[in-house]
Amino acid sequence: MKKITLRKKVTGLLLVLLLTAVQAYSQNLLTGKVVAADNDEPLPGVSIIEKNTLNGTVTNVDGEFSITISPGALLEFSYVGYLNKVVEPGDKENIEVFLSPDVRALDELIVIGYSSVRRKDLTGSIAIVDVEDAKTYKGTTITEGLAGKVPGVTVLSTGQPGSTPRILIRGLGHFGNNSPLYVIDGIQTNEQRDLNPEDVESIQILKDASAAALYGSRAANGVVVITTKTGKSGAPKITFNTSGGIEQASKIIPMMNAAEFAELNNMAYDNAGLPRMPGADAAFDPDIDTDWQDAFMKNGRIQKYDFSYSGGNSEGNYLLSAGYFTQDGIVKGPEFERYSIRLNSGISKKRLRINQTMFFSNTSSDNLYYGFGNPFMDMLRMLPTIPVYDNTIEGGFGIGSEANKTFGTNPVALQELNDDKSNTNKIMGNISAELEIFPFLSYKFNTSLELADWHNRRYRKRGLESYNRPQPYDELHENRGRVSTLMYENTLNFTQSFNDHNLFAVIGVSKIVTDWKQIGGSVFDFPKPYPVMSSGTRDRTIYGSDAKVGILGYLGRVTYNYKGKYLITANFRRDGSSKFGPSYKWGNFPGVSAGWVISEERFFNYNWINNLKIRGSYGLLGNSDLRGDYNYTSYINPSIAYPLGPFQDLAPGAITQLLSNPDLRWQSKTLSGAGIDASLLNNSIIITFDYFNSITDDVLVNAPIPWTSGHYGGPDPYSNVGKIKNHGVELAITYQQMKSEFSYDVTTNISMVRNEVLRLSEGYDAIFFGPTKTTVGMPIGQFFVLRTDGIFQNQEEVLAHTDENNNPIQPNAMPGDIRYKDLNGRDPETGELTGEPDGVINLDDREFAGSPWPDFEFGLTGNVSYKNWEMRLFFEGSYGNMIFSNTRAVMERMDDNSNYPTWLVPWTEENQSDEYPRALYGAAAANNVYYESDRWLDNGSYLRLRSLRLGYDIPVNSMKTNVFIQMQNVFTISSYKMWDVVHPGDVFTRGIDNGTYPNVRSFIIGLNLTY
Amino acid sequence: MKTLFTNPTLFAILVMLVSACNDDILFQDNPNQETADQFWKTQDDAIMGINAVYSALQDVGTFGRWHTYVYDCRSDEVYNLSPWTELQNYTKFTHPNYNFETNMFVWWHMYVTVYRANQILDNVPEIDMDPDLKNRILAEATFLRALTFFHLGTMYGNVPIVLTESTPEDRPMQNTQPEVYQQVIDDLTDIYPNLPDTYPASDLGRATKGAARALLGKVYMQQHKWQEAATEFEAVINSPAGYALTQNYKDNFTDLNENNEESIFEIQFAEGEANCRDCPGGAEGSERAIFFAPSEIGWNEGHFRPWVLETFFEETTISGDVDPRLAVTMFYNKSLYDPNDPDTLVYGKGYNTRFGADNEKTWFRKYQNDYKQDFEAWQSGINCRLIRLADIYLLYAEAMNELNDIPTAIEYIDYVRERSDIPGLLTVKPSWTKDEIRSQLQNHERVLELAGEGTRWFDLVRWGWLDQQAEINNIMSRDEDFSYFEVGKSIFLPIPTHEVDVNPNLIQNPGY
Repeated sequence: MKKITLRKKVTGLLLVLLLTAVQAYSQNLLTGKVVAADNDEPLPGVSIIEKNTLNGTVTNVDGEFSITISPGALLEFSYVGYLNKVVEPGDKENIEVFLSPDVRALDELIVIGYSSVRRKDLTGSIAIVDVEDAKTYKGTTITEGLAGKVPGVTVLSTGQPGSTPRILIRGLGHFGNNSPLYVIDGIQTNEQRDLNPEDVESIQILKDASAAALYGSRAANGVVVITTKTGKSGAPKITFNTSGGIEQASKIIPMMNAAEFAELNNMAYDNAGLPRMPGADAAFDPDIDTDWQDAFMKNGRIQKYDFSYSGGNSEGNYLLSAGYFTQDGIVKGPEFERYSIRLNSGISKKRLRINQTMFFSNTSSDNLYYGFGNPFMDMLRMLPTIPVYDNTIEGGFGIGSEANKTFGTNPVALQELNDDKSNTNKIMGNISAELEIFPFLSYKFNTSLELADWHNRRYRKRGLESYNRPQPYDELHENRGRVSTLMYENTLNFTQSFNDHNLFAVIGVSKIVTDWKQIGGSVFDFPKPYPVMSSGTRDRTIYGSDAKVGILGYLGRVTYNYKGKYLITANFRRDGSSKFGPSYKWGNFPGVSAGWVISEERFFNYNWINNLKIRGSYGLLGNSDLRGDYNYTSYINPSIAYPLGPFQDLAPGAITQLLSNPDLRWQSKTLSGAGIDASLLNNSIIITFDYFNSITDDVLVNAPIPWTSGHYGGPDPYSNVGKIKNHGVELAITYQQMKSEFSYDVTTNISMVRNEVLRLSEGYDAIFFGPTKTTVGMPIGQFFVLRTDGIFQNQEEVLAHTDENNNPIQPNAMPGDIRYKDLNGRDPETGELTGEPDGVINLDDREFAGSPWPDFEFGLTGNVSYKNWEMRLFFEGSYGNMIFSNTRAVMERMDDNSNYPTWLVPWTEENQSDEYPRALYGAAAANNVYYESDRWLDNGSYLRLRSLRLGYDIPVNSMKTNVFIQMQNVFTISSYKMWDVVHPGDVFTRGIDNGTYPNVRSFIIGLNLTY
Repeated sequence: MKTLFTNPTLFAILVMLVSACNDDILFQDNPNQETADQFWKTQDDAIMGINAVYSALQDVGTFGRWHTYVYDCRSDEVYNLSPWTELQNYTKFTHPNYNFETNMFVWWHMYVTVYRANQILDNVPEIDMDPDLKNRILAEATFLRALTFFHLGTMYGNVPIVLTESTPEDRPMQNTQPEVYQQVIDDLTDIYPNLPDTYPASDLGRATKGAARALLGKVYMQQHKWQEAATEFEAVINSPAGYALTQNYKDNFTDLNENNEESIFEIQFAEGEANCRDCPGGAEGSERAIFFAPSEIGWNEGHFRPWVLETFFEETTISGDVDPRLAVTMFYNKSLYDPNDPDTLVYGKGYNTRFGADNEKTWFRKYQNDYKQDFEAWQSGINCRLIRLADIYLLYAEAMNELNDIPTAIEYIDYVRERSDIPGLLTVKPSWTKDEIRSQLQNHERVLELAGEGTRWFDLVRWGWLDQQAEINNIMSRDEDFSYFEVGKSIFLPIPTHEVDVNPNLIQNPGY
């Protein structure tokens, strides 16, 4: 750095000396240097043009240039892979120009599946993820770093070590599994927990039918295309990255201490006319005051080490990387560890190119054991009058007693007594050979294997975890299995340009076979402390099963553009799947898209618009991702038995348990969309706008069927039940400025998605699920509950709450009880709902009370860098969604023995309020604790500072060193009182807080070295 | 073309493309299980099918756990102090959530049995097999379906009668309790001739003619059709099966003398821990023992009301001892009644030592495994004597009393009393009126003989005690939980909300 500065000074001096002479010609000689803004490397070969002239030059190997320009000239600097920059030198004689790498470089090749396309030729809605940015979020998976970053992509994560976030692209298209397809180096797969985020080179998210249609039957939820790193031409490179930090709960719920608890608990029993619970009264022990959050929560640690070396030249490249990641979270028990190693390489020889990727990982986790309840809810449910540890109880944990009665489980005991571990070895790799048959035609064979061996093991020690739940035997449950997916693909690529016509085409065949095999068993009672299968002594069982799924697809894509102005792409895929019955195996998935780059038109002469493209797409996508592989017919369960005879020998039984739908067929999703891409003001503003509309027909869902059917022991049978519309807009705006040593950029995105059920088949007029209802004309899974209407403050109010005949509607209510709205009734003759009040409060009075779907979701990323410093912050949030809080209900209901939050101030004669009903234990409180009630609904809107990072590049010769400190989940602004406002739920359980592992706050420091 | 064959690369590509087009992989048969279409072909299929119907009776919602809870804990004999408030509420006729686990499983598992029975009835007729065996199997399936509907009709009243194999689209119509009972009567009347009086040893445990007729009599009893009931009970009493009361009362509640001479229909259970049912090596046991076992041993979910205990002291045996059925029926603090009590053992530890000297709580002892071990495992192997002769004797006596045949009534009551060494009724009192006999059965005989066996709820319903507030007030004096009982509503359980929501043909029970 010193050297550079010195040279700059000398050059400057020379310039001053020459100044007069230059002015005489009324022309200025300008010298300077162009460097890359991201790493301060000089850039050779940058083209420099004086705008609106033919005058121009290029930089030399040291990035230096000199050019003679007219006064007031504008200089445009352009370089492949970097953003163009226009500079007005004014009367300066020497300038230093920083070009920032264009992560969105228009010529960049974008992998969209089976081929790559120049960014500027894209016609579909494809989100290109800023991977380096996503990686700065330190989590188990790369997807956690995508939260709030990509418009139209919702990432719902938890803080659980080793958890995989739920990701939704453009909301819900249907009722089933809405997880997108992942394509990692061409390998079609579902999950990516085992993938090391550091290995990722690029991520493209294919959001619409034009691009995703090539993945046909598996693309309905969008496609996440991930490419891993390969060695780059140039000198070999070594990198070492490490980071580590601590994690803590981002919120502690203020709970009552033992004395406060006792007071409220006594009130609840008194009001119910019941003798007080001794532990809160006569047998209250002032020495015990357990803070269960403190007992179960702890500070966690997170650590990450990654090492790689890579290199290459025109004939080949290689990359080897190794990584280790560990995280143990904020509660006692769980832990996650991952070791991974990757080798990617390629060679080119004459017309043949061979590429290979190979990834191995070993992940092991100590799982959070849920038992019969939920350890997070148990932290609220366990009484502060129960100690965490108690030597008088088998196992040594406090569990409650007749005097301190609770149905809660000691969460510490639950984790300590259950040793629940999983271990997975995964191999994932592919090899592809590409042969150039003619310059315009190449053939590619690609084959891949994904293989995972898993082993789950739970040993339940003896000892008690909750009151009245003896554990007569210790037990061991184990299962092992293997899933392997083999894929073969043959594709032909055609590329030809003649004059201004450019034509690209790909056709191919793809074949995927997935094989499952698993075996497991359990055994009880271990007299000696050897918890392995062989040393258990009773009730040994074993089970196992196989499964195989085949998918065969024919695919084709043609892309044509004229002068890079008019772009059109057509896709087609025909897929067959073994998951469907003989008559419904095949589905056809066409897609078409077109774009018009208006800014390339001659008539277009707005200098401030650098690029403007409009595009549109239309296509059909499928979804065959059914749980279970043979759903189209019913099976006989041969594992049923019944003891008969004097010795009760087990007589074999066999029968159908699960109903099926023989007419199961593809659901089809018709997706249309339009978008605009624009770059303005010297590319300092980049705008992407999309509108999309999808209609899914024959929606496949495990729709609830009556229990009177006798279907039992598995999910409800799949049916094609209806039609759903899903439409929305997405907008992303980036503003970036670079002023020599100071640069900053801000990216914001917002998406609005609405879904609506257009039709449900006969027999499925409405789908109820917990406190939600899904019906025609409404979005999926709307909260459908009784409406509370404040608290009866006195007897007069009870009597005044009357029906049309002046009869009290809740005659048995007491002051302090909840008043409900009488909204509906039934015709006594027909039994039909009338829509009129009937003087009775029951479940007929439920109404729609909010949506789990946000009105909009947004993200905002800001980067500021100055010299060697860089600061990055990232906000995300959602607005307008509701949460149904089972977690809050646990501690606010008061009819059950739980601890209570300090904010719970029950109604009393003295403290008449409309907020909480009176404290009441047991059956008397039934009307105050209706499950399907808006009492448990909360606002789910939030704004979260997801991460804040400060980085510094240490100037060391020949080595690039970056250190950073970072905080994740810094704060959340939300009215929601529980640990976390974000809950990954299924389609129908979205927005329901069942005590999920909250996102955690973490403090991380790290170091990145490149040599 | 020539190029194609001489250029090895192109040829290789062709080979690959052709091989890739083979669509065999799209036809995958399930390698684990037969399809329903492949099954139902042989006699063995029919036998395995019917065994699977019986197996449905073992689940928690049928007779594996909740049955006793729903009937006994809600009756005036038993109370519940569960720390699980929802569970406690259930016995207090209070239901803030109609999909509550207990309510869900009881309804659901009953219909699982119905679905399985209907598979037999729809498929077995087509099988080419021994016609007598076929008829027997069809009769067994019909019996099991009738048994289930008898319970569904009693618990929920207005339930759909489902008589054919279900499809996912079915939304069955609702029926009334009289319709449900009539279906049960028709079914049983229809099939009992096809059931044998007894089975060879290897088939012990299957439904017999006696079981079908006893059940039929029970349905008639609920409808006050005394004569019809008496006819069925007489057939049972005089059955060639040779039913008789066991000498030892306790033999009806252990796994030592199962399927004995007193047993008319018994749900078969076997020990063995497993975390699933209907799975390889799955559980075949009952969860009743651990459910009712006292604190420290089990889940502590039921206690007899004090009046039940007191009733046992109203009379003594001929030799002046405490009614021997008391110690079989419940764990209680014997030292409160007998100063010489040496701290009677409860699962190997004295009652007083375990629960305190002045504790007055009682726990179920029928169906508990304390006679052989000091703990309860999750699964208990003790069969559930769903219908036993003593119950039939007492019901017969009740029917005959209603038909004004008091001597016969006394005769059959006395058989039950004498087995436990209690003096005959005429010894106690020389003459009995019809009302006295009825009251004796209601407040004494049935309580002492059958407490905790799930019969009391049927009794309360049959006697009309749940139909009038005056009767409810009377019950309330010995069971305060009845203060939550609403006449016209609480006699039935709420239909699970899931069912009413998903099936537009169902209307929630009155008052809910």
